[in-house]
Amino acid sequence: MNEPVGLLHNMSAPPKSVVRYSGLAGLVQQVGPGGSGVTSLRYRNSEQHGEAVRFELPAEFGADSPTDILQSLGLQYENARDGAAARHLIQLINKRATELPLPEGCAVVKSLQTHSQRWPDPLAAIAALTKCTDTVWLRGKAPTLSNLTHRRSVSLLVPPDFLEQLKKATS
Amino acid sequence: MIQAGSRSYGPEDARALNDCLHLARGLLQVLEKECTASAADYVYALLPLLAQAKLELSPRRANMLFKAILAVHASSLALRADTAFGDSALHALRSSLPQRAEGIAIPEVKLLAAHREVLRAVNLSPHDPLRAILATAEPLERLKLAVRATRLPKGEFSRVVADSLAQLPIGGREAAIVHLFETGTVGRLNAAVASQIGESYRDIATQADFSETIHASHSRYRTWSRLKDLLARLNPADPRAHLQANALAALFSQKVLQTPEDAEGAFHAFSHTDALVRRP
Repeated sequence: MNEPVGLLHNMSAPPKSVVRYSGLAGLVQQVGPGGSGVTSLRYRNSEQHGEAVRFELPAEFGADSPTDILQSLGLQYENARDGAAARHLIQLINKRATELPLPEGCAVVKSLQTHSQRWPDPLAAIAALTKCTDTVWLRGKAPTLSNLTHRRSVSLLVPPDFLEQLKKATS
Repeated sequence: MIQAGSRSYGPEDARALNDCLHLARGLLQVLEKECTASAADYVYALLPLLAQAKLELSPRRANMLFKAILAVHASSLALRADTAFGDSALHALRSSLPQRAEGIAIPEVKLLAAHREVLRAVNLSPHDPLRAILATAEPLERLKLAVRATRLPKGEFSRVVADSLAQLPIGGREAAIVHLFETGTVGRLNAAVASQIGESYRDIATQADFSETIHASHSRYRTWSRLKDLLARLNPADPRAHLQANALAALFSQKVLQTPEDAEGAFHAFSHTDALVRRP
């Protein structure tokens, strides 16, 4: 059954208004296609899920060998053998890693100066640098001291659910 | 037969066969009392793994396999007293799959992998969480069970997670990876598996920016247009919507999404999996 509906006059919206919800389509930009049919597409999203925390070794920090690292940390190590120094250093790294209020695993992201450096102590930086691969930091991973020869800083992405404990620990 | 000599068979051989059958019948009676639990566990754990390999067995077939395992093991023990249960089970399994008669090729590698996996499960303690995990066919359920089983050793946990992620649909896999990072569970994985999924997570959780030039006649252009429509359904104020958008965009840029249907499927798989993994 079709009943004619009377015209609605004096509405606040003009009769040809189109209400459209575009959601997150704004993240997508498109130029074209013109006559050539070529189209430029771009996707850009500046949102980040969580907070990036930066760890950095001071520029003058010596990290050529375990003994060197221990000396840079201000710890005099009597035993001249490098193996014993490495074992002692790994113990210190593992201990510091357990103290950091981070999740058991975090994503490694591109390190930027804008990321906050919550723990400026070099041992925290060593715990972050030696327990990460190119993409993840794992608290339970055995430290790889050779990472220190090619990397001086790293940023870890802390998920939103862990930010509260992070703030509590650093406040 | 190839190596058989040309000797004739007489009453002695008939007696030997008869003795052997008599012994096998006696052994079967013992096995039916003492070995039923292992055989049943084996079949129970095997069914979901066979289903994953596209070799589904009906409950009636499962019962036939159970009986065949006991019968084959009894016969094998009658011939060689040191026969292992696993060897008999594999022998029975190979002979009990109806797919071969239907002309369906049996993937031997998958069959052997399933058999070995199940033998491990059968040898596990009844309270070992890995038993329940291995007996679960649905990959997301396996992943959730593994996440909850906090005492699962790192190696086992990594293997279950890697297998489950590989079996999840595109989009669903990305949602599951987000869950592993959001809960910190990624820390229980070994470095190899964690590194692999870390790359995907970085694409999803961090700022994203990519561009591409394509021709409007290309199928990727239609996929892109569909993607844009799908993103329009997402709420900009919802952080999870941004994760979903980034996941889809990353899949598009990696050329994983080839058609508009792929984009649609990945969109729904992400939403569905994200809701399921976050359900308490």
